[in-house]
Amino acid sequence: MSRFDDELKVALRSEEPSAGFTERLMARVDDLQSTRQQNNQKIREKRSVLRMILELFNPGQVSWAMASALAGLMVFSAFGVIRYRENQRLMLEAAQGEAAKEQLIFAMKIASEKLNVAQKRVQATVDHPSVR
Amino acid sequence: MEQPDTTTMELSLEENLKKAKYGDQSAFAALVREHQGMVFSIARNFFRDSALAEDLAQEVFLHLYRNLSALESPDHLKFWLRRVTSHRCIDYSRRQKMKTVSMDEANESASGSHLPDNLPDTMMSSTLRRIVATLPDTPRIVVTLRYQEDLDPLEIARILDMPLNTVKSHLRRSLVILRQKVTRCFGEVEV
Repeated sequence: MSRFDDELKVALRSEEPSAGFTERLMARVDDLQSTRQQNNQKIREKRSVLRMILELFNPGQVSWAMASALAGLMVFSAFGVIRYRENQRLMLEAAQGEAAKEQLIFAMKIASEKLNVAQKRVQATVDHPSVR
Repeated sequence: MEQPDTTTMELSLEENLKKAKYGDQSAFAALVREHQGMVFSIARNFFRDSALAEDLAQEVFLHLYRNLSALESPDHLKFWLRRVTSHRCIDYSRRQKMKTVSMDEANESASGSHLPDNLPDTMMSSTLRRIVATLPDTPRIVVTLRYQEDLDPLEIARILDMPLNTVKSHLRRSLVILRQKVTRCFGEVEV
């Protein structure tokens, strides 16, 4: 090490900051701590609301919630099946009624034509008795 | 007054670090007292402004308070403080584009006055500090860590995240510049 190095060491030697440095810093640390506590309090409040919502999905609560949901679903499904079958039955009955109506109209048409033929023959017999 | 030996001091530092991690503010204050000189001096030697150096040192220690949990040992703490302080000094200087004394200005102020042949130590020291302050940011922090903290180039390279050869080259060039300036100021003094 040269004398120049020694001079540099002396020139750049470590010195203490002004008196009260630590106290000023600790006051800022206190402020930081209280701000941090306030923020933590706010976060805790937000979390408690969130926790209330999430508690609904706790394992204990979940089994009840799941059972209730399942029961509701089963009742709803059963009701739906009954309604569906009822609806199908009504549609079938309506279709059968419609078919019967068609058949009746068709039969009445045939009967009407037969009656017309018979009527014409009777009329012809009355008008020309010698034909018999 | 009897000075505590290094091992006892290390132990108490370790103890204080542990306690500070668990929120013991008096232990944290003890850690601050132990290292405030180092942090403050790095910043003061870098900026040549005690008020600014104190502000920066306070910010470094507040940052330390927030990151205590990441520190593993007293050595790690010291390394961390040197590293954070050095980087903050460079960042602050770049951000503020600090008005540093220019090379010419330094020469002028140093050579302008008539200096006696036998310079008192304080005069030499203050001139050296002023000349160191004319170095660019990175060489200045390298010189500060080398001569204030007595660190070798390898440790400086680790602190500044820099290749070892870059640190050595900064040191070499800075010393050449500093010698030239000192010689110019004081004549052929024994350097």
